[in-house]
Amino acid sequence: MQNKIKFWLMPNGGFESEQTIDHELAIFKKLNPKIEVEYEMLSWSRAWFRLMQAIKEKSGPDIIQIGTTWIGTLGYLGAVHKLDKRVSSKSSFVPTFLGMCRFYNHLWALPWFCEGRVLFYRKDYLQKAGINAQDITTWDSLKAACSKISKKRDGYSKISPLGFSSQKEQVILQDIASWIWSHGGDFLSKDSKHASLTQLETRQGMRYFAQLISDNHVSKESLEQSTGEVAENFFMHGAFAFMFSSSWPLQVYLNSSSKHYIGKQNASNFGVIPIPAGPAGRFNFVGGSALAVTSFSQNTDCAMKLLEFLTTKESISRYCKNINMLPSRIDAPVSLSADKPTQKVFQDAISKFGRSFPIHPLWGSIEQIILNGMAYTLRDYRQSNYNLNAFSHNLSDINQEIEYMLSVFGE
Amino acid sequence: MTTNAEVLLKISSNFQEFIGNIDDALRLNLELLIDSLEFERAAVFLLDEKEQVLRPRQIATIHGEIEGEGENFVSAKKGTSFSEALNKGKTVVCSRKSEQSVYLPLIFGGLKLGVLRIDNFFSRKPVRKEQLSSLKTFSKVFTVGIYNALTHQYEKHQVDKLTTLTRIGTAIATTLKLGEILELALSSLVKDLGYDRAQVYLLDDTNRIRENLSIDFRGYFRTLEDVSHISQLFDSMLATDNKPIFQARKFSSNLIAYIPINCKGRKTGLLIVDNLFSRQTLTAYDLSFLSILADQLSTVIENSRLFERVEKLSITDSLTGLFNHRYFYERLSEEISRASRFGNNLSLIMLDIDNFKNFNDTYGHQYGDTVLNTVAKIIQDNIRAIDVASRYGGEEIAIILPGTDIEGAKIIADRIRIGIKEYALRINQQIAHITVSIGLVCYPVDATIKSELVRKADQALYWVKHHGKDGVCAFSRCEDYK
Repeated sequence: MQNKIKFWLMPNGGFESEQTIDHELAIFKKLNPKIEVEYEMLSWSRAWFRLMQAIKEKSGPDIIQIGTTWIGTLGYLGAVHKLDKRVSSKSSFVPTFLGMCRFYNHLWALPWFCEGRVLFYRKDYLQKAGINAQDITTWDSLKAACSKISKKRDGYSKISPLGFSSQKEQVILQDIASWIWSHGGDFLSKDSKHASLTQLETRQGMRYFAQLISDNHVSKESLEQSTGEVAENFFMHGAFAFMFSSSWPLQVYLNSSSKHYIGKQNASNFGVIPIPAGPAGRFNFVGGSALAVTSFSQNTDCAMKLLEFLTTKESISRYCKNINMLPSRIDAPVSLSADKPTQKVFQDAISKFGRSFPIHPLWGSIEQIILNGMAYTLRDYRQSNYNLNAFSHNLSDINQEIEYMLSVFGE
Repeated sequence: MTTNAEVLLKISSNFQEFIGNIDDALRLNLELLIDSLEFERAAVFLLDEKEQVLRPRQIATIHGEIEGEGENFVSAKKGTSFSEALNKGKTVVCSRKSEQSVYLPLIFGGLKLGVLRIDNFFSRKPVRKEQLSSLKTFSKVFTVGIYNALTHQYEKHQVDKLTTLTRIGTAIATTLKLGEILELALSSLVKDLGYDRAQVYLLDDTNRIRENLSIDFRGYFRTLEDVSHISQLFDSMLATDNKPIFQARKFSSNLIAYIPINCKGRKTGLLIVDNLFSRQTLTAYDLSFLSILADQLSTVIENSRLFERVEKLSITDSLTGLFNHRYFYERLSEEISRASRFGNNLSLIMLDIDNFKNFNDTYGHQYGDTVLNTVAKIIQDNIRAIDVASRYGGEEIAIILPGTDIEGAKIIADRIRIGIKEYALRINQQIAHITVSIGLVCYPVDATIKSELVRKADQALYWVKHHGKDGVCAFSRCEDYK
């Protein structure tokens, strides 16, 4: 059929992923009865592989959901259409997020929904330790709070101040980024031609993070677990006082309609505060998903129509409410299943403190080196072998390997 | 009601039917497993041996959807139910408030493939005894099915690559032109074999990079002007034992492969293949395959270079290094055709060394050769790469200047004349100066056929000879110049 388009997306709404997108596509169908949309849901772990295969074969989806960290590669390869003319200078997209969709001075995707990192805490543990969550505004005050909880540890049996996974999951880099950025460092130089992990400020940020572990503020068990397991232990078993996360636990653990809902009383025991600030300011990772039209699409007009529909104020408002994510548009209401102050913390994480990884064609491969390097480095820390010299040495090695890769890339 | 035997049969036949598509086979069989044994969720995690992690390959739930983020992989090293099942080869049952799961090892003849996890994820109902005993049997069929599918996938991959290798070998053997050989080989690597990018760097006799070419999967060829960054890589690569390697580093996944190109024991170049965009790790098999290709390439490159040398010898004057008389006429015909096709000018310079016979008689033929070489070098230094300088005969040299009118030719001719005149030639502790006479002619203004062009250029040259030598004259203005 001439007007049939393929849409690849990820399961954004947990167990209700299909219903949430079906709902939007039904409305689209009413408005565009001649366009038929066939969608396929991919897992995040396989999506990149599938997409690259489609790009190489020049056959596959017409419209795709992409992670914001993919923009550099897709833009460089020209695998998606430029969308500069589709967005006016007065667009209502969150500026930080819109900026993440740009590369080589072109817009390659339109923002769909976003998420930023915040710090979740257990109200009862903090209260017993005499800590006011609102006082935790800097990394030093977080460390002081962790110390207080550590001292009170006996009273809470196995409770650790902070739960943190050190496995090779992309998400751990998002939290490490907060420490690096708030100390004035970054992963790559401003022109993206060199690695900057050995830069003084980056090292300081990393060291701060390492010291949290060596000072015994991070649960050793959590370092061995995946981020999913850490969250489960935090929300379901109360294993720690603090945990970094984006907004997904609001949907999974704190939403009364979820299969994992922990109950009203337990749910009210959790609060959120912004990621603490460092000497260079307060920064948290912000990412999310955008929509793009593939350059090999045989039906660009129809794909563009769907793209435009899904990024309207109305569609984004409905979809984000259903999947419990923050909208990518300023004019769309925030409707996370949480109270107003909690919603405000998430909103600020996007609009005030949000920052993203460098946009680079090789970011995925660079990220892999950093993750491998950090997992290797933290292996010693998991075994209580704290050696800051070895830590610095590993950072130099990671840096050198990125440099090496960039030189083979040759651009 | 379906019996266990029927389910086993169905699982086995699904694995056979979808042997080329392990994901479909797993999805169908996991769904079958949860339906027949009344579980709520089932997943197969396959072992990534290099990373020592278990990655979820397929997950099925009673809701028929992929669960959550799907990003979570687990360490295969220690401390988890996954690793206990995999490393001890035993079924692990987890029965606690938060988890009601069974972990079954997928191990075939001692080869660890992964873990089958099946649980009551939503209700947290404990696993029943009869469920467990059936599961152990079913997991054995899964093990065999997965092993067969992975082996099939691996073998198919090998056959595909060997077929392509044969095709590349045949294709590159059909030409002796180095540029074409490299383009063919690199295109096949990205288009037929699916690598993201391929680059080749060839060394000259002094181990400096002489040629380079790269391509990415979009088919864009590129030649780097600045290869300094690659030179460093080269040095460290060639300092090793000259074997194919991955990016030999501590933290990098195998995304880049370096394959030395050796010819008769000499380091000739380097082939670099990478998957920096797709992030598909390269395997030891890729290395051995690429090494075979590099061997084929080295032979063809060597032949091509040999051909280049022979071809050069046949068209080059051995004394001056300029082209020879035969090649001059061939190129003049070609350049006239080209100029005619595109409506361009073309100029011809005829140059003769003044008093060359006297020079030979005075200083001997050995110094006559030195003069010829010196003049040839000065000419080469003053013309463009597209210009063709040939030893026309004796001490006479012809230069074809494509796309050049008579005014442009005059500028070049003067530059050459002055360059030669100012050159101080040291002979037996004496300084000698050489002069030349030059005649010019322009296509199509003065003539349109080659014999006419040559004749008129000669006429202009002899006009200069008869009017005091050491000068330049265009055929059309012989009377005006000196």
